[in-house]
Amino acid sequence: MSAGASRFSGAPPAVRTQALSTLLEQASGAVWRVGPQGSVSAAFGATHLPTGFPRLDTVLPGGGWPVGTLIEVLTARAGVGEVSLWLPALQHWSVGVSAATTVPAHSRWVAWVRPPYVPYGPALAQAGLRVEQMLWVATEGPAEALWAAEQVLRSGACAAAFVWAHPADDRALRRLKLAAAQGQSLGVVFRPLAQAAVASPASLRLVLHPRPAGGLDIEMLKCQGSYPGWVRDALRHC
Amino acid sequence: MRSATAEALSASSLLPALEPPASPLAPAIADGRNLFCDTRMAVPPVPAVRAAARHLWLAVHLPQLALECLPRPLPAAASRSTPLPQVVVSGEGAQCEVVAVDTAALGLGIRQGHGLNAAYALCPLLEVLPRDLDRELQMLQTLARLATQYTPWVSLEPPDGLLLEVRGSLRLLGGTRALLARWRQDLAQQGLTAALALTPTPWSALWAARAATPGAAVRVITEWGALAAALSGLPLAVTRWPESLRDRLAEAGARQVGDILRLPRDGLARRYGPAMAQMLEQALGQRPTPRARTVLPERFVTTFELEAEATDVAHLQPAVDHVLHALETFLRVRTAGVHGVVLQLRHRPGPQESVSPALTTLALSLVAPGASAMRLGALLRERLERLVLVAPVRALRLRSGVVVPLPAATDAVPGTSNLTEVGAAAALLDRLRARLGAGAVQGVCLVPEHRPEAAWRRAVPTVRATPSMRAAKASNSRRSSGMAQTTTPMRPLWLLPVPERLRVCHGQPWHAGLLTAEQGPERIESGWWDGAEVQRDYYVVRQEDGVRLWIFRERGEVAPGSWWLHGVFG
Repeated sequence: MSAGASRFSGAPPAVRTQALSTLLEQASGAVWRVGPQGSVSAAFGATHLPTGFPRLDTVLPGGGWPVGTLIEVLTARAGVGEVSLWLPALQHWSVGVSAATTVPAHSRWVAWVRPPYVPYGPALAQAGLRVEQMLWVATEGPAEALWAAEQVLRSGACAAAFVWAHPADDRALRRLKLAAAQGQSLGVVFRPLAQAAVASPASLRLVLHPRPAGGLDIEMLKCQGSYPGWVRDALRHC
Repeated sequence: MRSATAEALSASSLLPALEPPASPLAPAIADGRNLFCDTRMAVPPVPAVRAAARHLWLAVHLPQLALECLPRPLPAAASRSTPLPQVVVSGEGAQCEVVAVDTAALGLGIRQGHGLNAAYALCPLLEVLPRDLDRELQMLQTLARLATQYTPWVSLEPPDGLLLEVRGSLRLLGGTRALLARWRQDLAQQGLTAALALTPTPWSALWAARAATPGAAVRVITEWGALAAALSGLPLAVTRWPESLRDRLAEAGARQVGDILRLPRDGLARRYGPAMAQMLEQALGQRPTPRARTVLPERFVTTFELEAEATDVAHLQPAVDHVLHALETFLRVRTAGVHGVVLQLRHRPGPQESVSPALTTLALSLVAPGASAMRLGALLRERLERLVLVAPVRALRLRSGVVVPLPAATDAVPGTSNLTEVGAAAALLDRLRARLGAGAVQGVCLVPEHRPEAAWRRAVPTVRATPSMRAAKASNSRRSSGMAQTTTPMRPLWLLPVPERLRVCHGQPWHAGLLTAEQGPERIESGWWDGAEVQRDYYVVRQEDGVRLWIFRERGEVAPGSWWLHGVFG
């Protein structure tokens, strides 16, 4: 270490940085690189899906929702816009080809596991999604829902899965995360705000705060590859 | 006479692959003819010889079928204690006769045909099983089903025989040796002891098989000339002619088939009846032998009796695997699959319900027709694991759904195939349905309707490779037109199954606080034709905590002016 330091001590700072970045590139995958907020380059192997909201895209590492891992959404109550948040990304996916697999994403399902109400077809169509892509899994209890979610994520037959399975413990969430990685699916689990205090294996933990005048403030409790923080008025398009 | 020999030769030369009609054959045929000439046998009709020569019959004789078709102990049960020698008996009282013995009983000197008392005298500790003719026939049918892999012409010879015409498929299957090896393997998988023989006529094949030792080298006769010589050495018992007839033949000095071949045929027919002479001619191929083809049922049903009652679901697994493998074989010979199976567990009857034993029924339906025992097994396991047995299980019954032909798999250009993806989707759907029930997994489809509750429907989830270009285009155009129609009122992501009545405070709707209108009203009046008429004004409103709702004001006759919550924007 001291030898290396002495070797580069005389070199200009630019050369030093270059040597360091070469080293880090060799170790890419093993090292997570976190730059200043909004300028993170490496993204630990996950692919990303543009959120459709410029403010969020700039903050999230990789420039979008991470695919192939678990995202946790915490809200004080249902209906604050926690599902609408995902629709632009899904719409993008509905037409495009997923980068994660060679299979066109539009031939994969979007699964709704134990949603609180019926996912309403006309609204989904309005949001630009293909209704025939939807897979609605109704289960009796949260344990069954977790099992179903794991199957759905792992199978690779679903582009995304939205899961309402409260209560779920740490182990169950970890299983979901692994399943999402295996199936290269976008895994989103919705949980009540009270769970914010409990640690979770999810790669991204979001708390949604509705703004009095409409829109959402998003608090990132945890964000692998970046810092936690707030995104004010995240849904505004400028 | 010479001309007949020449005809026989030319008939055999029709089978170049099997019978080199060269010099070694000629003396044999001449021998046979000489024998017949000496006995002034009627010259066989030539076309008949030619017809028979086109066929090659594989006979399967199952000497232990009566024993082997009975429910077998499961491996776990078998290891519990040393099994007793087993015999299968038929008949009542004094006529009770042993029809099959296992190796242990055989070692004690018990033979087929012994009275039961004689058997008990030889071994007092004996497990006596009653003969089950239905089951024997079932097993024969199972074998016939298996045999259709090799030939379309399978014929049963109850109670313990089976005939396969294999001449047509020998080349495909890679010759006699390969065929016999495969067939032996199939028989062994069924747990059957079998003696085989391959000859040009059905009777000769059966006779040779009955005389053969199970497991010994198979007698293969593909030449006409060798046939008579091969049959000569067989004991007369293999013909299964009535015992009285055999006794009379024995009195005349005939103990082997060869002995009666040597006798004049017309005299034989006169003295012992034409049927027997006719059979002899059929065996030698001098007369055609009509054999019925076995027509197989197109639905698979099988019952498996457990040796020991199963009290735990885990103990059922080997039996379930067994019946599923039987199903797979059934389907494989048809290149077919099933859309579903029904597995029934028959329980031990309780004390009061002695007549009809309790049944547990597990119905499994597949998204795409399948034939793999492994896939079905995995799905059934999902159900079985969560099953609580109401009583110990005695038997399983597996019944297939509709048998449908499977599309032949073809190789796709690498990289363009999306079969695996479809497979994954179908497998996922099957797995979810197996555990959660068929109704738990749904798709959604749109209905062109103005009434919000009627504008969608549950649908069967679509499993398909890629959407057609047309569908993709349609969805694109819909999207672009959606952008144009900015006036289309917003719909909520969550629709309440039944509208929920809202409280009204000071003339304003109330839901966890005051509501602020964001959009509206949108008037929907429709459905007068089907009795579910709606007359509503819809509003998009916002709660104080940011939750957006879709509410309406009733305008119809019933409770006009009332407020209802119908959706949440989520």
